[in-house]
Amino acid sequence: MCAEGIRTLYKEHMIEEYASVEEPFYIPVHDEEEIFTAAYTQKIPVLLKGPTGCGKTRFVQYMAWKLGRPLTVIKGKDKGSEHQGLPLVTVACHEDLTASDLVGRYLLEGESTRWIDGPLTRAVKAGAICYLDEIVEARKDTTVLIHPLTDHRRILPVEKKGQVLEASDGFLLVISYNPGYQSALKDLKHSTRQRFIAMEFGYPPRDVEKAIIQHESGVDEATAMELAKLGEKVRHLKEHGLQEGVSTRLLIYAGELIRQGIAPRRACEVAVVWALTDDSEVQKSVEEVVSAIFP
Amino acid sequence: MLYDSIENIEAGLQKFPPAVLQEFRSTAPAVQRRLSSADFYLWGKEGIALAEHSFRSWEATVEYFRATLVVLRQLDFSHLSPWTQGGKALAQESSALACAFFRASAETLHHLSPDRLVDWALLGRSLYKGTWRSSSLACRLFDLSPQLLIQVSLDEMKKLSLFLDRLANRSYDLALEALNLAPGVLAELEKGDRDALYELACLLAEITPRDAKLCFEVAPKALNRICRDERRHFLSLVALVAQSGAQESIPFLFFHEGARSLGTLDWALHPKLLSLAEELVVDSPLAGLEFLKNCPAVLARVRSSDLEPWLREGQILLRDSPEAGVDYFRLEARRSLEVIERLASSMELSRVSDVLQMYCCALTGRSILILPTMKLTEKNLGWASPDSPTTEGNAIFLPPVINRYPHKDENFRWAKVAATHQTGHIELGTFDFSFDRPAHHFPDLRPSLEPKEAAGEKSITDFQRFFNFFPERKLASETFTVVEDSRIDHQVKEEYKGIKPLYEGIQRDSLEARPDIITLPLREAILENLVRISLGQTRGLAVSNGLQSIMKRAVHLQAQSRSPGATVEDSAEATIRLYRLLVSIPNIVAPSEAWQDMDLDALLDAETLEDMGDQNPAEPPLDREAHALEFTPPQTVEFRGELKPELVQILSRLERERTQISAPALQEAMDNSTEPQLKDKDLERPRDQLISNLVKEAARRERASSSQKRNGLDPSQESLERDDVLSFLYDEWDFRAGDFKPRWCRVEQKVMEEGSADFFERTLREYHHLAIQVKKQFELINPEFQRKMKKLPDGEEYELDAVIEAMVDRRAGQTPSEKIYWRRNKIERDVAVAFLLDMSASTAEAVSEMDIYSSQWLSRAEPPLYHALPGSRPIDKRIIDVEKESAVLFIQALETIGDTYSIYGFSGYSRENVEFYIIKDLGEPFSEQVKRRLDKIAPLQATRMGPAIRHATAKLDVQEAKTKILFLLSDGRPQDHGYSRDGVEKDYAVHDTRMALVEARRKGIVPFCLTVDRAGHDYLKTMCSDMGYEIVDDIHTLPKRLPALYRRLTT
Repeated sequence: MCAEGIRTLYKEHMIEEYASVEEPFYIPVHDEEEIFTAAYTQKIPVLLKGPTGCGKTRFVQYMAWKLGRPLTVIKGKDKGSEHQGLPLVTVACHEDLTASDLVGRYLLEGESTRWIDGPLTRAVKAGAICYLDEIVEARKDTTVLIHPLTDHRRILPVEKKGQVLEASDGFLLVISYNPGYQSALKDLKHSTRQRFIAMEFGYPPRDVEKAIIQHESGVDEATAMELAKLGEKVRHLKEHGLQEGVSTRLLIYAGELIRQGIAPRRACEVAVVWALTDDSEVQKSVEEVVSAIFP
Repeated sequence: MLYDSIENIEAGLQKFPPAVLQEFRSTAPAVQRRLSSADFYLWGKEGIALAEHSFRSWEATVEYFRATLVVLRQLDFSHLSPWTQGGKALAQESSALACAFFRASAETLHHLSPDRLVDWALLGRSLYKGTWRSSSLACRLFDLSPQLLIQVSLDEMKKLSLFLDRLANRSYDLALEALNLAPGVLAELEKGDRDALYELACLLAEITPRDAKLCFEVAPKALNRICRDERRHFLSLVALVAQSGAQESIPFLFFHEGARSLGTLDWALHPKLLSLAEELVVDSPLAGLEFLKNCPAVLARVRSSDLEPWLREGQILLRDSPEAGVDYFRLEARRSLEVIERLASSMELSRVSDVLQMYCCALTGRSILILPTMKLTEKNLGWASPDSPTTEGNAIFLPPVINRYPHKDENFRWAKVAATHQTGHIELGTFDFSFDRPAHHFPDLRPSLEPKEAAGEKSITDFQRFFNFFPERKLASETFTVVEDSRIDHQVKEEYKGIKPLYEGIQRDSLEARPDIITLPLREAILENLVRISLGQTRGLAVSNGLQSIMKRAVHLQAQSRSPGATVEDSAEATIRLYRLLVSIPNIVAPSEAWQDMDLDALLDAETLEDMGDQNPAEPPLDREAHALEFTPPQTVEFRGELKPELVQILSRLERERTQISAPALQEAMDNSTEPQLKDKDLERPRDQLISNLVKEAARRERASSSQKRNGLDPSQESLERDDVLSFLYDEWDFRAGDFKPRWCRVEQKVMEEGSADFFERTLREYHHLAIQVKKQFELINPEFQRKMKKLPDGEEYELDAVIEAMVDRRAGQTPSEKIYWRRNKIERDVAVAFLLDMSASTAEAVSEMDIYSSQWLSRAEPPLYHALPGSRPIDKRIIDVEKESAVLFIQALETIGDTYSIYGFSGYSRENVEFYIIKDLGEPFSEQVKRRLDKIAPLQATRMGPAIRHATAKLDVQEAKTKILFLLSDGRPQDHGYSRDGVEKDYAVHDTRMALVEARRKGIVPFCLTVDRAGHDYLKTMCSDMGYEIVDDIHTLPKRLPALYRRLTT
């Protein structure tokens, strides 16, 4: 990507080629690693449930790396192989996501047209893990599209081209879903739901969360512990004024701010209190918790 | 005739009724013995002269004879004559008077010097005005004289009689009553107060006699409540009130209520308060009265120095508008409460309980309620102190008003620390104490203490089992409290670093209130030292000579129980050891020179402890003979409040397995425990009462938690939801004050009863032409909501403008926009309407009465529809029926277009009881039930529109519709009982209703008033000046008009 004398300030990857080289940081809390590995081997699609910011996406990244295999083997050299993770194709679902956004579409090129594959097609071809984030946000007709991929058929019909694609061996469909937003409108249909094994994610226990915060934000252990404690306490307020508990992600943000020299109380105020809620009463309560923990 | 012998006198007496002679005969011998014979005959002669004076004056003679003997014991004959003359003079006026005079003489002479006898007679005489009522008053004065003269001098009695005289001028009954009260009243007052009281009473007697008498009656009670030096001032204020032309009974209320509320306050405040009240009285006596009355309530919130700013604010208002000012001082104006809130240093728990509740919930992960302490003490479960924070395991109780510091923030901090301490008990497991669980930092002594045969039996709770070890149970449980509180404080501070500075600040403040150690007996002194150490004191701990080693061991035990990871079991183990140390020393007071100051470091010095060995310390050189005092628990640390672990465990055990606990076991547990404190000391069998209360509470909790599991409902809402009646409080607008009366009206929301659905069907049949017509019109509404949407990425057709633009872009080599289509988009109609139906009694008026005017003048051209229909008699129809019919057609129409709508009815009586009926709620689907409820709409009571509008507004406000409409249908002006106190009800009601409508509009709701009152133009103009309103002149057109109006409003 570097021409001589010119250095690009950004990195571009082909979807299929984008895979972690370094091991993503993830601390298994339970047997999720085992289960996912088993599902991958058996080609069973996986549904990840859990509140926002609890590490679902990180887990998929981690597993993709973990399950990866050396892609390039250079003959004659005994140096062994460079470990390369499985490619991971992530699609954030939204309500305007159409089927062609996933599968692909024709584009005009001069007088002719050219077909371009969508991310799902490319994942199917490349044998990547395809991660559909927040699947409930997608339109109903889009979710139906993945059905043939998730049963024994493992095929993707490409209607516009009149083709059917067989999935490569490595392909696995992983979707995530946050049951916290339960509303009548946004629930997963059973016909979709029952094609996946479901793994439930929660916020990690205090010690694990401490380690995560410490690693991710680089704060000292004591501060990380206090942040984890704050997380635990604030999560008690779920259903008592808060719709969602504070995510590990937000706690990490708070930690990062602290590391940048922001006073801890202030950092928590912007990263936790105000980020969580607009209700002034609840804000006040959470602030009291913050001020009880941080001097 | 000469009366020079007994025979002569007797003969002279013969002409009178025999009683006279009889009396003479019975007294004469004794009198004869005491008097010279000349005097004796003179005496007899006077008697005859007295009797001869008038028809009934012989009665006076009888009394004269009878009294003489007694009087003679105190008087010599020289005084006897003026006495006789005084009586005779009275007899000139009225024999009854003379009778009373003679009758009372004997007694009176005990308290009156003989030479004042004449004055006394004249005093009575002065009240006599020649009428029988005045004579009875004067007689009564003589009768009561002996009693009065015990208390007061004759001169003072003159002042009293002056008051009575004035009062009698207005009403003899009142004067007589006052006189009868006088001995009792005067007995309880001091001389100075009495003089001032006579002055006031005289003044009041002329202005408002009833108040004078009432004031006189309550004077002792009232005056004795007031600071001695200020009583005269206070009385002069009452006079001022009376003179300023206040209504009757205001002076009395001022006197009575003012004194009562002053009595609840510190006497030192009285001068200030009275001079403030005086300023107000000058402007408005009523305001002064209300000010005094509400002073205690205001002072509970603000410091006394802030009272004046509050008053000034009200004074400005008062000068502007008297009514507004009075409401201000009555605390019935929002402004007033706002000023108090601004000035207040104290913190009301209710204002922060939500925040604290969530805070505690966050810390513990359990849903913990924050409640005022009364909620616990009133249940009488064994907690009795209203000022101490405490917990019973499920909720944290804090004082309702916290007023310890001069600033609100500081008070909040105190509450936060107190709540944190209580959550500490819950979070750190005080109440999870288990007898068998080993401690972390101590070798377990507990199992070895318990006799083998008694292991675990009979005890209901682990705490009970534990405390049963100790012969001096109280000492043990107090020691435990000290150790456990200290552990909690320590661990809370470690766990929550952020609150540590606050916590330590409050701890320091608590230290200041601790008693002086050297005044305490030895055992208590050691515990007190431990309390102080736990509050952070490190220097100047007083230790009695000879007890240094014990103190050191105690301090070490305490430190050990605070080591990291210590549990409640560690506290228990520490308690056992501390208890042993404490019982080894007598609880006696040591002389003040036998103390020495020690620092915590010295006490904690480990080496010296080693030296002493772990054996029992050497016998301290103490005076064993001194009298040992009973153990008194250490003074409560205020922010820590009360800890009753045994009761908490009993309660939670009862909750879990009530049936397994036998009554005798419970009884024994309660008898042993030192914890429970009962509110009513005089209950006959307090223990039994307590036990039954505990069982009840446990049952309630069990129910609450099971229903919580079932419904996910907050148990505190349980009581609100009963009987389908929900209460809401709303402010009301007072136009004279230009302010809201806070929380003034109570709206009771009920679901309408169900009747039969026939009415609905019948109406539809009856109006079926109209119904079809309306339905058609409403169906036409829909297409009006189609709109052309432009610049869309896809659609029915190219949008020409956009296409051209895109082509231009392409030529220019830029990326054209993809949004080149247009489409007819169906915009969803998003309307929510609340239909508010007047159900006041006036709607019972028959429509036919109105027909006299309307049918002749207005509806002739277009006869009402039902005339044309068979089977309906116009005479039967009442306004309400037409309203109901309109509602039916309205529903029919609304169902066609699918708007969200509700039908409410309202009526009620007074502000306490505004009834709000739900016939169909917003979001409730239309059903058979709704049809049946419509049938039950009937005229009820008055029309208080404001609260009903506010309630409907509140309901609409939570709807997520673009257009919200409040449709008010009434038959006349708003009116209700007690809308206002002083004759401006009509205006008041109209203004309040208007304000309610304005509030609705501010919330984005379109109000619309429809009335069938033809006289409505005048007040509707005020009520809905810039809002939509319409007057339906002919009520029969209402069913037709209503849907039409609605259509116009929403399209």
